[in-house]
Amino acid sequence: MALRFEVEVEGRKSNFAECDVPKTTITPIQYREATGTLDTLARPGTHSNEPFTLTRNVVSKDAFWDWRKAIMDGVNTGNASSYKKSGSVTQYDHDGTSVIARWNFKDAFISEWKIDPDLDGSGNEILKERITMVADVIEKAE
Amino acid sequence: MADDERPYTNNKFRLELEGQELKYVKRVTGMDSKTDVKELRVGNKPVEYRPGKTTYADVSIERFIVDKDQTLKKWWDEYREGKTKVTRKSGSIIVLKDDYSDGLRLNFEGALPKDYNSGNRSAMQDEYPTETLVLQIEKLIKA
Repeated sequence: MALRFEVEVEGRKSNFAECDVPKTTITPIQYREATGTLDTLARPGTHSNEPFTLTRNVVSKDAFWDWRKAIMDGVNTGNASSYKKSGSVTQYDHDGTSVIARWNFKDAFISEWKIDPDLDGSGNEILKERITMVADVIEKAE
Repeated sequence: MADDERPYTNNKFRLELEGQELKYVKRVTGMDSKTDVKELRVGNKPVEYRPGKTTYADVSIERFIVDKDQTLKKWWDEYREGKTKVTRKSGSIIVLKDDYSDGLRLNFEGALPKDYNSGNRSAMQDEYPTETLVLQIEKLIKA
């Protein structure tokens, strides 16, 4: 069920309302060999990880914000442990406990922090924060 | 979040400029910070992502013109006259709880006006007019 999922970062479980499943892409390279078949062959080329977004109700300062703030203030990019964290997204069955799938992300940092919708005196929505992160490693664990 | 805490809504908020509350604010937009993602591709390792520069979305403040408060207009006029040094301001966007007490506070720094618009008037338009000031900001943080 898409509605039963859990996000965990550095062992800490957090309550999110929506989350993208981390996605990776590989750009293929096409090539030919003159003496072989006439078909164009393909092999995997560059590997990229797409940014993915976690959405939750706005809360006060917490560990996620501290993680984000470090990057806004400037980090020593050579020292990955100072600003990169690992975690996982787990999808559960309808009972909320049986694991259907799990994706692990490693060495991720937060690249965007957006609060929406806009504040509006005549609005009638829950204020959300959208946390976008990019990870060096994304793998399907279960 | 504790169980007895209700999530914030987008319709309860107030705004402070240099510690002074601005009244009759209708709408505040632009609570967004983006950090460029730089790819570090070297020959002997998979790709590594690193943070680049961070930019902030413009904050726009829309306010009903129902009193003679000249704060926004004055700031815009000062800026237009070239007094950049005196007109850079800080402020806070405060999201309020259900009882209108302060909840979450977002502080912005180094704001400069970018655009001012006080709308049009129409005899058939039965709505309160508003003025909008768009601000370019240097930082937006949770306080």
